[in-house]
Amino acid sequence: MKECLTVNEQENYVLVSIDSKIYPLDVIYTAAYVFLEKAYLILDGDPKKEVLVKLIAKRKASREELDILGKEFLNELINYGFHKKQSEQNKQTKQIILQRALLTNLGEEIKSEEYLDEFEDLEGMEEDLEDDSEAMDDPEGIAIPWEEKYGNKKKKNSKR
Amino acid sequence: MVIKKRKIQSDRVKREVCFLLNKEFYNLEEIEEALKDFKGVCEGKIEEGQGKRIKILLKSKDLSILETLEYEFCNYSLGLMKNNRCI
Repeated sequence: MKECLTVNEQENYVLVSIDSKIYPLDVIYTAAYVFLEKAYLILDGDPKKEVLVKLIAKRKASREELDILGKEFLNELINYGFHKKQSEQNKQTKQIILQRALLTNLGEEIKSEEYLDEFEDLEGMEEDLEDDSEAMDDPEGIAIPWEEKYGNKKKKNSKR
Repeated sequence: MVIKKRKIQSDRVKREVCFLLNKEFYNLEEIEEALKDFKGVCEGKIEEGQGKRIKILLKSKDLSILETLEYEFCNYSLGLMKNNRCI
């Protein structure tokens, strides 16, 4: 594996080499933004191949400290890379929830057929989600609503 | 892994620092905005036409900040890029 950290103790910096095919540029920018307080950052290289991030310590740092700084930056890249991937995966679900919430507050008069046509696909997806929840095992009876489980008993008690 | 030499010169007598930034990562608009915001501490000039690089000349009002001025400017430009793009 190619070494991606180069520490220069004399000039007080660590150079991080990033493959832009693994980490997109927006992830690199976000990680760099987090590090603005810790170090001075300079971006260089080729955004299509290899991005070089020069992290210059704000105070005189030892070799180990610079190495840690570089590694922390790499961790931050993974963090935001993962965050980006997750938000891309959850994008459709978020959209469904948001549109459902907006639709609930719109009122009956706006819910015309034309308007609802736009949500046909979403409804299909919601049904899929419901099917998934039905298929889920519930041996402890956790998913049973309180009213269903204890509602009758309460009524009996109140009668007494 | 080679990083091209960025700093062209730093003149303590003239209180000037001149450096290059990669156009692929730093936008001219954000650099101009950063220069405006840095007017309180330095005067600046942008020179284009160095291939993929933007040449920036900063003349500090205070000698004590000359060493870090370039880096603070780069950090500030990067911050502006992040904010403006809402990445």
